[in-house]
Amino acid sequence: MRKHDAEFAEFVGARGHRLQQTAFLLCGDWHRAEDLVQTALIKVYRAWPRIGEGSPEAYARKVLARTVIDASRRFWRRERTVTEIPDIAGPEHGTDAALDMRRAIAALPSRQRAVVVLRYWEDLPVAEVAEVLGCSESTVKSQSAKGLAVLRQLVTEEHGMLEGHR
Amino acid sequence: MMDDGEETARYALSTALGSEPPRGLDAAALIRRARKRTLVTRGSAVGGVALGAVAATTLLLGTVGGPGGAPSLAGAPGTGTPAPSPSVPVDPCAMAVVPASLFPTPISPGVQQEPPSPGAHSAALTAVLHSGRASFVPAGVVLCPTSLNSKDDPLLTREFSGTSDNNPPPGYTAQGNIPGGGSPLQGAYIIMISKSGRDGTCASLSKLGETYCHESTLGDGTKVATQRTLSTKPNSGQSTVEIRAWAKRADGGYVEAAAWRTVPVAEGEQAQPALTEASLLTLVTLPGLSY
Repeated sequence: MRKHDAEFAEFVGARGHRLQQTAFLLCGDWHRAEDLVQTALIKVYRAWPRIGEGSPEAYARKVLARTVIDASRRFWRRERTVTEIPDIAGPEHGTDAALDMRRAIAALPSRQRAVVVLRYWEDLPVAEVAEVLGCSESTVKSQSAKGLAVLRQLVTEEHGMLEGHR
Repeated sequence: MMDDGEETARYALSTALGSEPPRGLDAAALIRRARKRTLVTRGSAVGGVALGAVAATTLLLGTVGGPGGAPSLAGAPGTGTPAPSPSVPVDPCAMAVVPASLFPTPISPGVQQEPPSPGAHSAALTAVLHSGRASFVPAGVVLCPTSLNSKDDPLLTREFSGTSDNNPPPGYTAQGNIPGGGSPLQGAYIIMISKSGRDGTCASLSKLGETYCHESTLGDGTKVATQRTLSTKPNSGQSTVEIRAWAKRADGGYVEAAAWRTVPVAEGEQAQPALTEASLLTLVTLPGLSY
């Protein structure tokens, strides 16, 4: 195996899972998340010699975020309104909470969601989020504030509904 | 509950991952794909140039030949592609467009590009579904495969592996779309056959938007429940009606099936999915459909 193949394999092993989680939070669908991560990692592999001393993870994250946002703009993949993801088998109580939170996150516009995910899941500083998304820091701040406000309201509502339902 | 927006966001994000299926990434497979893609890209560039040259040559010859010149291959008997006939029947499944995000995620650990080939029990369950198809698919209803899960067979049953925490228990699933009505969001269904699951009572599934839930115990001891839910997302103008049936079977297995469709809000109260309550009851109690 070539040196850069070995490095890439090590990177996939170490960071692949986290990238899948990030992709899922960005797009809300495990199948798409898997596709997106594979697409991003293939680009990372091909760019590996150029990345050099840089961070492959940052590069992968950037590819991932931009791919998700681009995909949501295409008319044939544009997010369509669906009222509910039918839940899956299993009596575990945590599933309901997870579905509620997915709905809340899915309610955010794609760019706002990306900002929230990168800021509060990836814990990236504002400047880095701006760099990843190719926008200004002030845009990140405003999108972040809007996203948080919407999320807080939705989460509070979801909890109120759940409490009342049980 | 929480007074800080950032804390709320972190809570929401981590909770949303609660039922995360396990996924593996195969670096070697990714490397192979990356190399193949590079070759394809290079090949496409070369091919594009060649194709352009061929097209130009053909155009030139056609122009020179003109009427009375070399006959067109496209028009020769037995050659070329026949012109599409207006009487060609339209494939109803080609019209079924349901977002993949509607489906719960079938879980196949380690899957990269393609889900694993169905095993012997998957094939047996698929055969059971096919043999019972007429009993649970109403006349006129067409089941369509999805590109990701069922390929060419809408009843193809695949294995999924459950894990701890919030994931569904191990089992088998078949899922697909149901076209009809001309709406881009027409309908879909899912069938799950598990070794554990809901116990066939209404108490085992509480969902928002429930309009009714019935439960009963059959003569052989199978416990079944059926539920209808209607939910509307604010400002969407659309409602989703879902019928779900689940059984704890006398043979010890658990089978759950759901069908749903999206309709304009005004039609929500009266709407039914294409697979009815009776259909789904028949389906979850099909002999032989067991984990």
